[in-house]
Amino acid sequence: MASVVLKNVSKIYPPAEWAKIRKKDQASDLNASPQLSEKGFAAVTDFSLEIRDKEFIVLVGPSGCGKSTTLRMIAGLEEISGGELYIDDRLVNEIEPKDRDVAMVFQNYALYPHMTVYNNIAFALKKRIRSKAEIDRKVREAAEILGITEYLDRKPKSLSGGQRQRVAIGRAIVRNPKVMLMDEPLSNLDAKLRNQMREELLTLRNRIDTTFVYVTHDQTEAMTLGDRIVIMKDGFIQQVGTPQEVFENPANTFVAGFIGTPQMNFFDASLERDGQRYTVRMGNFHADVGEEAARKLAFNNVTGGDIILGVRPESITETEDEVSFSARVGVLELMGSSVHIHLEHNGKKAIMVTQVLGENGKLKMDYKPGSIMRFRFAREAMYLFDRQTGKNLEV
Amino acid sequence: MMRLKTKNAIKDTVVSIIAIAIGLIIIFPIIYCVCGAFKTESEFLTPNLLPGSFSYTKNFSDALRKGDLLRYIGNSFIVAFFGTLIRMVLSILAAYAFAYFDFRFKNVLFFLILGTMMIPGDVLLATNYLTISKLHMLNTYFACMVVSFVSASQMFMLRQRFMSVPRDMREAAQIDGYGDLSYLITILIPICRPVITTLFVHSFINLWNAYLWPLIVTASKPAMRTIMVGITKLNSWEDENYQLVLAGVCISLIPSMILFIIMRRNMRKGGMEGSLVG
Repeated sequence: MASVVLKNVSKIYPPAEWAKIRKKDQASDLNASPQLSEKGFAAVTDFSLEIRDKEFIVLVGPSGCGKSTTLRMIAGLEEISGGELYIDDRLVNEIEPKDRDVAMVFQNYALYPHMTVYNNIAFALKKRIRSKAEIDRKVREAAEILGITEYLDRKPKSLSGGQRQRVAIGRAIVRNPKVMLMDEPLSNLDAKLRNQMREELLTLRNRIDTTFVYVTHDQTEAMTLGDRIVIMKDGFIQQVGTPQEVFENPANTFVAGFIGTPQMNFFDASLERDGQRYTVRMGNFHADVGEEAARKLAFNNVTGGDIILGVRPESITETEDEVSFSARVGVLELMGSSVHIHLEHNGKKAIMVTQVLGENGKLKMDYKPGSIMRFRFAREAMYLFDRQTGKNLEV
Repeated sequence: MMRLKTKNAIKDTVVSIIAIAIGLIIIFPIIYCVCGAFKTESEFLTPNLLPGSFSYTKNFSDALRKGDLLRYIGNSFIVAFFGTLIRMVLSILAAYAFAYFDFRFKNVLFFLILGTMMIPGDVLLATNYLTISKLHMLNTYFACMVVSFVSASQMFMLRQRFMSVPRDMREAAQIDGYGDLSYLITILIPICRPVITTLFVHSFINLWNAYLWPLIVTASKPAMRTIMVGITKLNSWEDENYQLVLAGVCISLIPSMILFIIMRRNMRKGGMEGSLVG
């Protein structure tokens, strides 16, 4: 139970070290990345964040964005190149991992193969607690929480993926650490098991009551688990906020596109200002920006011009109205009660989601692939981004 | 379908015959040695492979009595066991450093050590002998084993094995509160037990069978001879008695075989199952 404070933390791999990492990791294509300079590879740049006591923070971003590196710096497995890291108000930059009182769940579990489940869980305790009875009590308690009591005498090789993951979590929670670090713990499970474990993590979180830092590339996990989400790209924080905040007010096109499935549609549009009134135009479609949004735009001194218009797939509706934009219907993906309709407008792809489950429990689909239809969206559903910088103009 | 089956059967038979032939070629000297050890002096001169009776054990008792073989076996055991033990400890520590630590000139040092594998041991015989004799260590157990304390090939094999253990394992142990040495002892060595056992047995048999080096460093003190040197002394130009030598060889095989049988179970492959995903 502790707060974690990162102040301008950065991680730069010197060229020689980076060359070694590159050699090992041929798959990632980072050679042409802007993070690469003569100083080396900047995996994380200027990362500042205050994680409150007992908060569940999720670091999310595409692969290579520096989220795992940040987590490993908190764990002490990666040296910090610049900035300061505090755990419970103690500067820990130079402190060994074992003295930081953190626990970590690894992506590939990293269980000790020659030990039984019991010993795997007890392993960390043996260094800290002398009393065997005490160790036994704690191990059984952790096993109870995770429902793995019956496997305590087994070796990891005779367990299924989900059970191994539980053992890995058990190994971390048994110590009651100040900070619990999780590096994509669910990414190796199949979809069904992942959903189940995600739910269990939520329950677990309420029971063990400690600070969590959780890394994932899956925005669903981020949205469902996190008190706050940190979205990263190319080593930089893009936005920090509650799931609702980042969904409703994305800071830029990257965040807007990353959070939400299917991802937000982006159209080229123009913005016109007339006093306090702002109008968005896109072909035949035009709409005045809502009052509150207009106030924000005016406050930000937005004058108008070319913008990127963002609209979530769920906000697009079919219409007969003249004030609309036309698009060709492409592929239809039936997801169950809803359908994802792929559209093409002015050579740009878009996607719309619409409910097709009728009250009678039957699906009602009258979209024909290849046909041209008219669409619109509510003015409250519009997100306006700067065409050059990608920044949200309302924030 | 039938043709395929016949083809496979023919292939299996041919391969089996070749394998059996190779096996026989390898095991024949041992069979010859065991049979010869049970032969009387006159039987030995006949071309028969098998002795008249396997209950004729005079050669064994003679060998033990005449050559002080028990003492030599003891010497060999001390040299082979402690030599191997020290060799394993040094190899494991060096392999760990090369596998996990980052230090300056690591690669240069590593290839330098591997380079020593290219030098034939016999080339160093004279210089090593001079060193040992100037240090007044001739005719000691230490002299017999000191040249085998360091083994580049074993270090190399252990390093490769250590490097195949995922980095996460060490990091998990670090977070659990274990330093390098305790990680090595509690996690890495148990995981790599099959390789370590194999190298241990291999090294023990090597040192047990060593002949030339123990011969020259114990030349002036017969009591310090190892078994391999001792066996050859059973036979001299004025008294040619090969069945005695063969009996000595049979006796000398016993400890290596016992070790092999004990360790065989640990030499199985594997050790990592279940640790990671999939």
